Amino acid sequence: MTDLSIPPLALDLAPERLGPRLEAFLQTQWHARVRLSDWCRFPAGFSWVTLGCTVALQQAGVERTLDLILRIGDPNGLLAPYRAKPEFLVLAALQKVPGLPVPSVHAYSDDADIIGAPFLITGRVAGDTPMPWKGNAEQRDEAHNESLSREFTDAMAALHRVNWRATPLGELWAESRPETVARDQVRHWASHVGILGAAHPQVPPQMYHAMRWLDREAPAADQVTIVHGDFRVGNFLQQDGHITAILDWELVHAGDPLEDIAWAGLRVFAAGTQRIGGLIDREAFNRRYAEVAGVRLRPDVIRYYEVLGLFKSAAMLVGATQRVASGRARDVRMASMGFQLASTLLELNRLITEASE
Amino acid sequence: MNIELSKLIEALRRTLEDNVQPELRTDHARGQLAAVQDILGKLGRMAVWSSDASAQQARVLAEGCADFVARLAQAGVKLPLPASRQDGSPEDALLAAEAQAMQLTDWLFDDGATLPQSVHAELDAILRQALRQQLIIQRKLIPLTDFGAMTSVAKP
Repeated sequence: MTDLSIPPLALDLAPERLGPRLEAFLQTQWHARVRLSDWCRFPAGFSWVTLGCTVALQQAGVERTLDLILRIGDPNGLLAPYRAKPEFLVLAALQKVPGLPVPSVHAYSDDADIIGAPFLITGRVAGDTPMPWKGNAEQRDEAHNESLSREFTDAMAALHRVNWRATPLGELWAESRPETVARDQVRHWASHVGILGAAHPQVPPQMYHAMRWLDREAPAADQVTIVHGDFRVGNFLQQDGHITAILDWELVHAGDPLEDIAWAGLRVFAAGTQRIGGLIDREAFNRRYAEVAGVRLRPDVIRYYEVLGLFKSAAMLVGATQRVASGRARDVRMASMGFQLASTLLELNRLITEASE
Repeated sequence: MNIELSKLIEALRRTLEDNVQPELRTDHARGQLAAVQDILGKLGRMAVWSSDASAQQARVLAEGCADFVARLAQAGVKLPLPASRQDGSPEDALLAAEAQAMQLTDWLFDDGATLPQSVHAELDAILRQALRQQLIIQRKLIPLTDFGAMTSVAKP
């Protein structure tokens, strides 16, 4: 029998092929003549492919240009399969939240027939990215580090205060419950590496032990808020000591706000210091965050989410290795990630041991 | 690292071919890359992960599992432990020991939940210690990774 099905469109990042596909999509969306140019690719990030371009828009006889960021969920990417809709809805809901700068958001599609992968288009924001590497904070003016610390804290608090149920996210995350949000995350990441209910799990036994521990110890949340999922130093832009945008919303979900706090404070992001992200004094963060967010800081729950954070990191590393092993990895940095697994699992072992004593 | 070395090397070669080769601007650079790919192709057929490390990992896990079962027997619970493999390759022995550790993990979190708290905690500590020792052996083999160099934009 002849196969009449249409093969899925292959993702092709070459501007001469990607550009016209995207222009056609945007012309329909914006009812305007659209021309894309000045393409560049950013090396930051290990998951979505991030490209920059300029769009010239002609609408009602008026021409204007915008600098855009195109984020593409590569089907072979680190956390594939991707969906752009949650990130789009979140960014749309957060456009005017005081103290929480986010990029403007223009369009998205989860239809693989447009460019061969889900994608999201946002505005380009000026600034550079402070990183959680050793010595990074020391290269900046101390006053800048102080204002960045304050704005980082306020941005997280502002995010956790958003009444998301009154936005379209209320429908997207209608099933989220305080009693189950922690376990939902454990299952999500266990599924990512194929060990949820597997008869013969193909992961290091420490990973499996951690999954069982996290499932048993899962706490109920005091409240369910928007959780960024990767809120840390390294995922915001700054200019002259002021945060210009919180970035990388791909792991956003409804959950316990203490999950974001635990993740931001992981030792792996501390650049060998006691500070959050190598930048922010922990005590000052805790005081200010609790005051602004009105969220109760529960040390035992934060410790639980630190373990979950490392489990999530380990799941990403195992997932990266699995993609390399199956020949699906497009980015060789995934192979390099696999070598981090032992040290991540050792830290996981240490945290579980501390929590068990 | 739970990936076959030949597959890892193949991924390196594919990246060089797909992502690096098209960006090269000189014949000299292309020649250098071709030589690197050639060497990687040869290494892919010759190199294996350290069998010594696999054997060491298998041993610490098997010993931990045996300690677990012995402590359980002291508490009056007889748990038949599937025999760990001694006859195959170090890699087979490691896979068997890892499977055994995961079986005991399941037992501890399911049937073992009814044990007295102190016994449960002691068994969990034995298991965690064995897992830790396995990871220490793995980590000793691996130098640190510089992710900063992989994500930064080139200076003008």
